[in-house]
Amino acid sequence: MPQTVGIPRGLLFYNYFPLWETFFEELGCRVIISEKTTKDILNSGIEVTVDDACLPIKIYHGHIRHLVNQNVDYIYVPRLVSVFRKEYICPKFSGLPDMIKSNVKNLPRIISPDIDWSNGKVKLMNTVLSIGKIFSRDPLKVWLAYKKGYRQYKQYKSFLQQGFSPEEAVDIIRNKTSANDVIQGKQKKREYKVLLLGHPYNLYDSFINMDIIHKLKKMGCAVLTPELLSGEIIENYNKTLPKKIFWTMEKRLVGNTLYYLEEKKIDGIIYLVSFGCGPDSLVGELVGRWVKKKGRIPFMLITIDEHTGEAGFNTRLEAFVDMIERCKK
Amino acid sequence: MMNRNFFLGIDVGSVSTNLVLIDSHTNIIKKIYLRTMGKPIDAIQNGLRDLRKDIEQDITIAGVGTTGSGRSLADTIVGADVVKNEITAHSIASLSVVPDVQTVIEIGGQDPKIIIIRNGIVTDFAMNTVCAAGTGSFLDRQSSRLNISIEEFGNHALKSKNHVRIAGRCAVFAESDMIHKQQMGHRVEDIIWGLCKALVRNYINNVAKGKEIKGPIVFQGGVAANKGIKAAFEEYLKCKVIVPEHYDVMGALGAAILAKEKIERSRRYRSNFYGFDNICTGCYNTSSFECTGCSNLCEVIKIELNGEILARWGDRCGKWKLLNHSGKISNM
Amino acid sequence: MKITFPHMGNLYIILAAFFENLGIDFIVPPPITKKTIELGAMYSPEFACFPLKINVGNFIEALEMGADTIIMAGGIGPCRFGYYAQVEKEILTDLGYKCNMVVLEPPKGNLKEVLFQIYKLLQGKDLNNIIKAAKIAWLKAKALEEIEKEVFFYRAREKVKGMTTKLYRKALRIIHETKEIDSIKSSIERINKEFKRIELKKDHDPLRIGLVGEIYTLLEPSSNMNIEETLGELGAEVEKSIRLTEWTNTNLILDMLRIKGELKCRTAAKPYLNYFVGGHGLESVGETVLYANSGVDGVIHLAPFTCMPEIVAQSILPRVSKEKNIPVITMMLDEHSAEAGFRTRIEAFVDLLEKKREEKLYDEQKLLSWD
Repeated sequence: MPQTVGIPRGLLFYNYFPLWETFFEELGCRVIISEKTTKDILNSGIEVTVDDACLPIKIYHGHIRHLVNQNVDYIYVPRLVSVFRKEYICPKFSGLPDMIKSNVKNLPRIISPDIDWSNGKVKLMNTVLSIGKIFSRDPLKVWLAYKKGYRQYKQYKSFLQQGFSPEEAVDIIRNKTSANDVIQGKQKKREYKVLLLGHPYNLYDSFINMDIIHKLKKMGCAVLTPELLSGEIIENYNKTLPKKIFWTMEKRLVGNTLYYLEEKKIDGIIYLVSFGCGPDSLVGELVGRWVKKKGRIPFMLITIDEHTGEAGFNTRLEAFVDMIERCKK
Repeated sequence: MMNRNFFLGIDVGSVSTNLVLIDSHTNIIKKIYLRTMGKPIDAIQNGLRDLRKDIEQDITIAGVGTTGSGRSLADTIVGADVVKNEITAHSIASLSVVPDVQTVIEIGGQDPKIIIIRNGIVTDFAMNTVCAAGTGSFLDRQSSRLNISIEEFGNHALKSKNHVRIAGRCAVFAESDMIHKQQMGHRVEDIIWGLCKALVRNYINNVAKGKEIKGPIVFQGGVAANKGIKAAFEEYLKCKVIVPEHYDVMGALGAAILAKEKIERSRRYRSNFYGFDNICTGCYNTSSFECTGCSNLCEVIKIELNGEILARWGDRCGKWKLLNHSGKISNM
Repeated sequence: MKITFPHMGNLYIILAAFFENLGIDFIVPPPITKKTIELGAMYSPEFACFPLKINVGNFIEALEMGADTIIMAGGIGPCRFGYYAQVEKEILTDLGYKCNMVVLEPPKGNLKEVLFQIYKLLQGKDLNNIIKAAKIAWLKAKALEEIEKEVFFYRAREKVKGMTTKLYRKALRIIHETKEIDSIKSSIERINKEFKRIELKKDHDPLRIGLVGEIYTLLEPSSNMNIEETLGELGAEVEKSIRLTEWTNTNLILDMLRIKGELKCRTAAKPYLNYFVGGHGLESVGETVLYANSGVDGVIHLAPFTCMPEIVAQSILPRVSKEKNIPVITMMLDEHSAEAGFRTRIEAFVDLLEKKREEKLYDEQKLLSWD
């Protein structure tokens, strides 16, 4: 009987999941990923989290509870403090394993390595080996498993950068489909280019975001996500700021905003924010002000939480596309 | 009829003002439920007048307790021996009716509450101060919008055969979702039942979040009269919910019991009660002014009795406050 | 150049002493009032934290009074405070205020940079002068701390309500207005004598309540509905873990004491929260554990609405409360907080603690009487 490792489909799952999945599979585990977010998952997350937590954290708790019910042997909840020097994800990510342990009952064993590279990539090997130790005595095997995972992750990132969705990218990597077939299906002339800013776990979880990408496409917009730009461009544009943005995800969004405003390649910007998101509450404000000053293109900040009504959401999207249309004329 | 000792409890809330008169064995002699209508002093005076009607003349009020958001005002008007917050008052009243109660659900006009009691001691509580969805005021509004009397509201809910989900954390959104469901053609009783369930869900998620709800559960406050809400609670919590006989005046009952306890503890103590005649015939005048002493611009409230200043409050620095009922302004 | 700085509790007394002794022109930011909060809320992002909103309102007031340079602390994340200055600058500039923002980044960031910033501010000042100014500021900071402890003690026990608070206000005024080192010392003695004259209740054993949480909401009474006063007047003795001098230590001066204190706190928090989460989240958990160990009756956890580190703490505190058998209540504050509801909850919490204490005494008596 292989050991089962549960991975919650939430938060940075959309950034790193090929790496995590391949790594555990290479070590001989069966990886179980919680199902796509549903109303039930959301409600079960809301039940155990404090009111003031943001929607993605609530949903993550729901995924954890979903995995608990599946009786997995382990759940992987990394403490992702920082993945770049002098940068952070957000305080809630730093306290995530502790929050889970306080809020969720009947937990199986939790694998929660501390990943903190705010002082440089220290101890990467130690971290990898310490997780691997649970399943294998052979450090070489563990390291190779990580290396394989990392290669997959690199491929995955490059497909995201080419504009494939996370699901498409995974299918291509797993040879379930070829990149060309996906592109064939995409050949459609879109009238407007919309930059959709937001964290991956909001942009790629179609339940949370009420399927915003699909809806925009149906309204004739080409949707540009923040993953399309290279790290280099992001860094260069961030250097123009008086002070470095120390949140990794917000840094990417700011880089995108500044690049597209400069290049004048887009017709509108939508910023998708979770209610109660700290970094976005400030950065969203800054981005809004810059667009007003420099861009003179439609900008809309949409705040989503568990109470967002779909009817109102759709109304706003339609009105936004109308606004672009009027601006272009 | 011999002269016995009675204790009076007054609960001045934003929506209703309730008075309860108990004897020394905690039997309720009389209870009064009035709408505050934004005039708490009138409500207190009218309440006391009603209370005295058809009760023999020689009752002695041995102690008075006030509670509710207007507890300090009530204290100023009647001269209370105990001024307590409504969470404590409600828990005391619950315990007097159901001694082994472990959870109190209190939903009145506003600010729904949950009180967790273990072994007769309050161990935890929470109160929603964010939203009015699920409170009496909200239900009143909806019943009048649907043209159904509030008394009938609960019975309608029990007739429902189908499930309609009403969304919304906030009263305004819940209302617009209801209107939306009506426009889609759902039956009224299904909408009402859906609303009851939504309000219970809201309560559990917002007010009772993270609290361990154990039986016996006592459900009190004006909304407890609503059979639909009670049924929705029982369905959600999968256990029986007790609605006490005097569910609508539990805050006042708790205040009366607290006054009784205080008087009985300190034997030689005389009540501060100003007396029915003084209160009911008094001509109270409230006014407010903006203090320009600093940029806080506090709204100072002034209460005068027959032209004499009785009390002032609302100032953060304490310049206008009276420290006691001496009628003299302290030199703070 | 006319400088101003954020208003946070009694910080103005310390900073005013420092700048005054250096001969730098400055404006004491006006006290935080309802108007300040309204102004700030109007121009700040809706979901920004409460302290930022208060800052914005307060800076506008100070700029209107003629200030042109704002001194603000920086930070390196992950909490939002580190990026306050940039957002505030953007808001003020867009409103049309021309002001210079001097951001003091904490030593952890880059010490050279801090020194350079301070040097630029103090250009042409004589070193002896700087040392003297710092000394007076520090002396006042320490004095304020001592007085605060007295206030907590007397407020819980005073016979006539409000006496201590009245004296406290007077003491603040005296310390703020006293200029020389010797006279500061003699004023403190005089104030202490006055405290000793406050009449105390007989056989009143006050409840002890610990305050933990985010620093601004702990230190600025206008942001926490005057919780210290409220608790004191309900007859409870307040204990506060985070003090102004500590903040000054971490943000402006390197101090080893603080590091030691932190370690104790971290160790206490370890079983519940085993990582730094920015802001004071870890302290909130650690201090609660330490309070529980020292026999405090209950803990009140204060935080601005949407504060990220404190949301982590809030999620974990129920577990601490259960395992350490200490009641904890979290109060999230912002411009929408209503005083009536806040007060009701505080009073009910004090009632709960009193009942719990009675229960404990009763159990002990039962044990002793062989029942």
